[in-house]
Amino acid sequence: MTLELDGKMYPTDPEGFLVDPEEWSEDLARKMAEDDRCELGPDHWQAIYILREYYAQYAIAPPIRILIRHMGKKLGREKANSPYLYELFPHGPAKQACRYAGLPKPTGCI
Amino acid sequence: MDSLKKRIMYVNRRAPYGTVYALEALDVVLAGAVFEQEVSVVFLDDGVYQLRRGQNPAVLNMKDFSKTFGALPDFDVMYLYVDEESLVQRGMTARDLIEVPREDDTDAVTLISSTDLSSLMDQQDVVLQF
Repeated sequence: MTLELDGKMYPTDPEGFLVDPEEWSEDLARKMAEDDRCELGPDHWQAIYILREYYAQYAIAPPIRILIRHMGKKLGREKANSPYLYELFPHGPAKQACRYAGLPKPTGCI
Repeated sequence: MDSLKKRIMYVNRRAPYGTVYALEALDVVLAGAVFEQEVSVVFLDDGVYQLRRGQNPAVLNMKDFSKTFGALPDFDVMYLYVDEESLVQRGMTARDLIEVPREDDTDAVTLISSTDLSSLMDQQDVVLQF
């Protein structure tokens, strides 16, 4: 599968995750969100950039439990819980947020 | 619930690249850690190369998964045991290894003698070799 943006094709897996996380751009994230009829606000971008930073450091996409723990360290408790993340990413925080962030699909995850 | 908690030890005996064992073992550790078992990882024989500092597998078209060991304390994997003898046999010291800081800033990478490793293995419910 591919995602098209400005005439350029970006290979994705069958669930729409970018094959090469290096190809990611904010425009690509916006395009993915748009296709899901979702608008990205500052809180979405904050989560997306935390995920990208996590991937750059550890070379994996974190499962939800680990993501919440990690966000707690970065942002404090009120932004580090399941309800908050589900509100931002109703299709499943790890899956939807990781996809927008250009990361591979987290293993064993919602 | 405590009786359901098993002590699981993963033993890595192979070099990081060239075969898929090391990467597969890491995947299993990450998946298993989600079930809140008491997990430790051992690096033995050529397995000690997996923790070598300054890897550049990009030239092999491989991802540098040594970075992922750094995430293990967050997965409640608090001990990465390195067999000291294997390290010495390969002309390496602790300084050649990556550091894996735990939350309290101590290093999860822990050198262990072969004798201590044997008794530690005896205490496990499950020992899986890769």
